[in-house]
Amino acid sequence: MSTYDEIEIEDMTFHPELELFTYPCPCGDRFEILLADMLDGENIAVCPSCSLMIDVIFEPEDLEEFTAMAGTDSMQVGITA
Amino acid sequence: MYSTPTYTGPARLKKIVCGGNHTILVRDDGVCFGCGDNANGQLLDPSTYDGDDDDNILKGWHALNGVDNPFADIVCGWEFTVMVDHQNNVFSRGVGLKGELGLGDDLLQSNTFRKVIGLEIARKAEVKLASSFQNCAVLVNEKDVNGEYTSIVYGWGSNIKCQLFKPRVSKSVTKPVIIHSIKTRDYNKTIDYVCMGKDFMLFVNKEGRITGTRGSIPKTFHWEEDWIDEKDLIVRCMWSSIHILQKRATPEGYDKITSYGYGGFGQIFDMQGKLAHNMKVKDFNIGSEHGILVLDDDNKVACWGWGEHGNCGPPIAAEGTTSTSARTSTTRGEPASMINDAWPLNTVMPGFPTGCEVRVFGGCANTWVLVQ
Repeated sequence: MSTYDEIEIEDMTFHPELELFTYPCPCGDRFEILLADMLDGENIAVCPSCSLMIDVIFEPEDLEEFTAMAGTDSMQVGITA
Repeated sequence: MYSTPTYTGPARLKKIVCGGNHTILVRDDGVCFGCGDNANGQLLDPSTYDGDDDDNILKGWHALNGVDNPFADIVCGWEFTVMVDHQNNVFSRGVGLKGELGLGDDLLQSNTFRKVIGLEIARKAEVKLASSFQNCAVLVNEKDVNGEYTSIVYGWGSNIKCQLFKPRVSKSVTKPVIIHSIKTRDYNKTIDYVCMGKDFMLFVNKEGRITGTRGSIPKTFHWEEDWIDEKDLIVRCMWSSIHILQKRATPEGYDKITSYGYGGFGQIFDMQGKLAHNMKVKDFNIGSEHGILVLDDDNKVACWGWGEHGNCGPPIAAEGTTSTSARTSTTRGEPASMINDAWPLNTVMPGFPTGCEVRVFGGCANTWVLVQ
């Protein structure tokens, strides 16, 4: 299996309310991987709109801060209109 | 595979710029029209329009400004738009969690154009914008009273791969910083444009020479060894690769493209260097992971690279295909589309009459052909 790219977890966006990491795909959609799947050892994020996939680079301990954030409604980064 | 809408109006179309999911038509009188994703106000303030359009998606072309408020230049990033007016004020809108708006730490989203912080550019200066993915660059060329030229490139946005500067003291840069500058008495040595991939950028001067790079450039690209003496280059970047067009580079006078970087889906032009292309290129542009050419023979439009969404035209006939790309499969175990890679060059449109001006533009898995 060939993946499109290797992306470090710090480069991805975490959505606490969905417990989901995303990263832009060259097709315009976003690669997705669930925190729960990563806790189970999964490291491939897939794009729902095309066949491309990325390897997510992380260590198990990297997930601790995101596990603590999971389920909250706040954005990872504050947004001001 | 493609549609052919016709535009008629009081001014010619100058260019088409594409973000992650939004697109802008730029007229040469500075009036712009946008369509696509507007979830973060990257095109228009959602509170200012109504009708059938979904709040988040502008279907059809919407005027972004009027003839009384022309834009001098405009570019798009993933979910943001940056514009410069004729007074050389630079503005941005949309969203950028890595600081792509250049509006400071506290303003990462805006439904309206807001002036980028700290850029005070003389009105007489030449200003050019560049953007890709999570970065923006503003090139400012000025001549002082002593006849000396200054080129300054300001940049902001993601610095995860040191695409702005080293060391990486910050992953996000939310205000413009000077990332490259030169002083010269030779106008031809001033910077002409900034070319940006996803994690890197290159500076090209008015002689067509590469004069510097930033960020995570492809490992095989050694510009100071291989390209320092070359001029008249036309450089374009996909998200993950660099492509250099040399006019009349072969002994027979044909043009040549040399590529560096990721080529898993046919993005590297003639990866094995074994094909004789005998091509003369009229226009050359790049999408996220595909390339587009207008060729001299009858204004033919041809593409190469990743074409899963039809952006490189219909599937290539198997005969003559020398694809070196890796085939992938989806997580569902289905075979990936055979149009994932378009290599060798795939003819998208067979040609246009002599006298037509044919120009090409690319976005995220989409291709635009402008015929005037």
